[in-house]
Amino acid sequence: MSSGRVDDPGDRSPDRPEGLLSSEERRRLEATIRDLNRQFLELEEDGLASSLGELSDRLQALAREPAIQRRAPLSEVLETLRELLDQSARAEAGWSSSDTDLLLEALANILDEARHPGSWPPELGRRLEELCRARRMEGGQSASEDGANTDPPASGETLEAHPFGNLPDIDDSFLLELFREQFFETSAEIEELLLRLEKGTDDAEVAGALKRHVHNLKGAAFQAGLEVVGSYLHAFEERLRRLEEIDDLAAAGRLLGGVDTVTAYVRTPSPEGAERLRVASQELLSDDWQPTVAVVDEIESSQSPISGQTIRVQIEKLDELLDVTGELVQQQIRLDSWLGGLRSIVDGFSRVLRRHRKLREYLDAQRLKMPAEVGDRLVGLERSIRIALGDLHKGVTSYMSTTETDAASSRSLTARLKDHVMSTRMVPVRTLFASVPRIIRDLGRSQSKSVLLVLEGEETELDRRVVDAVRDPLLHLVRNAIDHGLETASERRAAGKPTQGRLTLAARQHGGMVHLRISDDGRGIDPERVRQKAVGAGLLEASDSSQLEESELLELVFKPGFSTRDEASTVSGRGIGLEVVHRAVAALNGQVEVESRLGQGTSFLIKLPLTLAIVRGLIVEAGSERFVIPSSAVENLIQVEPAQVGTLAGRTVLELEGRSVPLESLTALVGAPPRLEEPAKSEALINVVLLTHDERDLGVLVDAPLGERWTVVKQLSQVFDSARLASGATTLGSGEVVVVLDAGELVRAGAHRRGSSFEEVGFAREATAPPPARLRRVVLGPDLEENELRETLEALGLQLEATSQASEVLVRAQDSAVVLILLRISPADRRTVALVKRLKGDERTRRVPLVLVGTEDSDTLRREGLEAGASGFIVQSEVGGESFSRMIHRFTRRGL
Amino acid sequence: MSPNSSPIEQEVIRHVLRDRAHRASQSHATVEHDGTPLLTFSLGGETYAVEAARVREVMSAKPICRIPGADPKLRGVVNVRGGLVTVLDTCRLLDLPPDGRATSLLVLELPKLQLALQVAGPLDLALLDNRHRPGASTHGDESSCHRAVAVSGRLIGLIDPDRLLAALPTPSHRDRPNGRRESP
Repeated sequence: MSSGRVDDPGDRSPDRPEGLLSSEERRRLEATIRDLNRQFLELEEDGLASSLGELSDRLQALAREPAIQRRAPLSEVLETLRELLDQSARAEAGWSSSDTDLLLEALANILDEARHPGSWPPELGRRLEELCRARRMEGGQSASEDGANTDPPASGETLEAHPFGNLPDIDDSFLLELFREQFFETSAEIEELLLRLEKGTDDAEVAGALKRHVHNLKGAAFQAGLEVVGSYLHAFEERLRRLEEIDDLAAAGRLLGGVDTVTAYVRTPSPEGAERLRVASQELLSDDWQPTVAVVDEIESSQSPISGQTIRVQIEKLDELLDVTGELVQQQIRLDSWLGGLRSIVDGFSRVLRRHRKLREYLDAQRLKMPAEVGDRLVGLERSIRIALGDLHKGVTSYMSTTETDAASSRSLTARLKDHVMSTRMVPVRTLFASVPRIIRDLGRSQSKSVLLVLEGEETELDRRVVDAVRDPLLHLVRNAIDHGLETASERRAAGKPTQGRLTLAARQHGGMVHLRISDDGRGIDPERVRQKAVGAGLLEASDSSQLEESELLELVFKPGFSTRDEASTVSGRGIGLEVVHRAVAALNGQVEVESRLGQGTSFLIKLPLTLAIVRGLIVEAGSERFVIPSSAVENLIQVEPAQVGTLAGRTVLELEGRSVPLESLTALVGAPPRLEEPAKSEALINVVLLTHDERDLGVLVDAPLGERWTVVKQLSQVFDSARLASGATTLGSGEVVVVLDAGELVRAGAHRRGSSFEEVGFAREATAPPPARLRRVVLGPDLEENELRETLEALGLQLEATSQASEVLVRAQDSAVVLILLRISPADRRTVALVKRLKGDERTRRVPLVLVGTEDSDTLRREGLEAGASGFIVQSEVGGESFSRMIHRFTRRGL
Repeated sequence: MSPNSSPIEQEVIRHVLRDRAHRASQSHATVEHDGTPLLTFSLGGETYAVEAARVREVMSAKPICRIPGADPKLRGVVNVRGGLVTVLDTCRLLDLPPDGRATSLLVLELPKLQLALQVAGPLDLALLDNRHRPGASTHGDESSCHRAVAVSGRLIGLIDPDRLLAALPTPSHRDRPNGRRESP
């Protein structure tokens, strides 16, 4: 926001009517409000008090916008909103969705009011103020006060003093540690800012930054349960505000002593320190405030557990580091291949030396037959060559061995660097488990279930990105366990179990995977109910169901549309259920399994890869593009003979050791444009990548496999979310960007393309079978001489379809029987290039190869056509000839 | 600056950079422009523009990596110094016929998303008179990502980079492997 204070000169214009916004103002206002909306929604998800602080600052920034300041009522509303947020942060009251609703409504109306003055609904302002007043009263009285509670229900249960206070066996030191980390990072900055203010820096930004820091720390302190610190920081903040009001920020320097007092307490908490802070808070708030002198001697002596040993680094920076490391790994691979070349040169040298020895032997034998001076001359020459060669050989050999040693050490350094960089991304799973206690507490309370949480293997490490991505599925399972799994206390008593339910979260590393187990000792899943539900939901035929094993029945809970609850509860089971968990985990290249015993409990096992950022992948060529397929999903890369390809139930399959695997062309799956030139290699064998994902197989036909390597996966922007086949992108050594395919989506897409025919797989049918009886059409563009083309095309088994105008081509080309489009192109006519682009830009016609017939042999024409997306170009004069026939065959044979 | 930019592009880039340096050297309150500098370009035979200050970089044609299954308005991604920049098919975005000459890339200053527009030359600078800068009353509808403005007597389409985002497919909140959500 710091750069947001650009005063539009237009603002000052006296003739701007009071109500109107400049476009710059509106843009900024919209952007700020959009950000706020997003943050509120995120807040609703994570409910962190520290983000409340940030939001409050943002609201303040919004209030400073000139557009808002011109309208007093809006400034007031924003002040109320801020107070609401501050109250929540202070009271650790969390944030309910009804609060969010109200705020979002207010924000939308603020924007409207700014645009069209007078549209603010006064009723909304009243509602906000009432809520604010109610909260103020709660805050002022004790948390248990019920009588004055006029609020939405959420506040009653969230006004607990400490989030983990009532839970046994749970260690909140983690949050405390986080707070300390944040505190030591920011306290130095706070001190510096205070010093600057003391020196008389009259800078709104300094004051703003100071307030922001203090505010955020305050939120974090409450979150960590350090109320005495939080209250002090609140007083600190309040004092700053008062100083600002009387425009005496220079006096802020006197607050420095306070920072020391807090620092001492955060380092080594003690009852005396707490008391000192309490006194200091009161002093700060009293009307005749005087600077407190810090009385802290123990700072130097006490060791600090955190500062100096850890720093916080944004994950994006680590991503970059990893990117560079990945490039380095690839550079190393290139160096190794250079080294191979060098080695063969050295070998060549040895061969030359051996030859030379022969020459010498021959020369020695022949010497006597030659005239003396010739012999002497030759021997002299041979000698000098031998010496020179010997020196060179020695030099090259020693150079070679040094280089090899260096390369080896560089290789091991690179590998170590990679490991270290990877390890910096690893975080203990306790960061993942940290939010569980709160959920258990809230849910358990609302459902009158007492839950004992047991955490195991919290130190097990996982890539930060994996942790972020698995959080939702994990929490879903936790909610499920409490909601569906565990019984109420009375039910448990009746079943002869301890009244307190037990939920265990355990993490363990298994090779390159981490196993997360979420188990409860609740009622378990009844396989009989699963069977009935599955049959009822149409997931299973009643006749089949009797043959399923119990474990197979349980797997059904992951199917879409499955839920064992008859009525959806507010917590879980909204019809999406475990399918979402299954999908999310599969998207992480992981697996989820379930075990359950009726009456004894249920256990979910999530298996996850340690990291996602580096993926070993197979680089393949499809059409004119390249892709990376993650090796984890690749069962095998095989070359198959045409005879192994057949048809089963209308789709092309690969016969493989007694099983039939569906076969799809990657070019077709990803819609890649066909290659411009045919590869030189023999077409007798085809390359198939066998994929296995989620117990489904798919053979993917690729044009060429280009080797396997480690790749650093970069994330694509959110706008590509709908492109499910792409899980990211990677940069090859050449700088070329290549899409990393999502193997699971690929298999799914393959399964959905039911009925792909032989040709659509891109397979050369004539190698095995007589020409297909299927209709194959060629669309001829306007102005093409049909008769000239007829013979060649019909000889290739193609049917002609003439058109008279461009729009007709566009329509005809959509027919799936069309295997080729021929268009006439001339320098004078620009329409053909435009038509090519439209055909290539249209999803329905993009797949069809397109050959241009040029009226003259011009490079410009050829280039323009090919650049626009045409697959081939041929000159009019060659039409009907051998090369034309070959080209048409080439494009139509592939089918796609 | 791409080493193989055309001279005119380099010229434009120099202008843009100088203008930005000039603006940066003054405190915000005292900036008093004759007008807002625009970077104009052509697309499908029409002239369009972006505020020069919103253009971070101009690059000549680069190989674009197509993302299979993406919205057709998105041409793909390019590698800019190791980072990925999303390239928009500007013609499609503005409902124009495809323009084969649109190969230059304008990398925009946007929060969060690295975005580039595919545009055709000639690239040029123009000044939009601030007094004529439309305020709340703009031509064209509210949802459009561009609006018509008059610059030196001719009408050009001024593209609002912030509105481009709204014209793009909205991200779904499904679970992605790498959790494609950008952190706040």
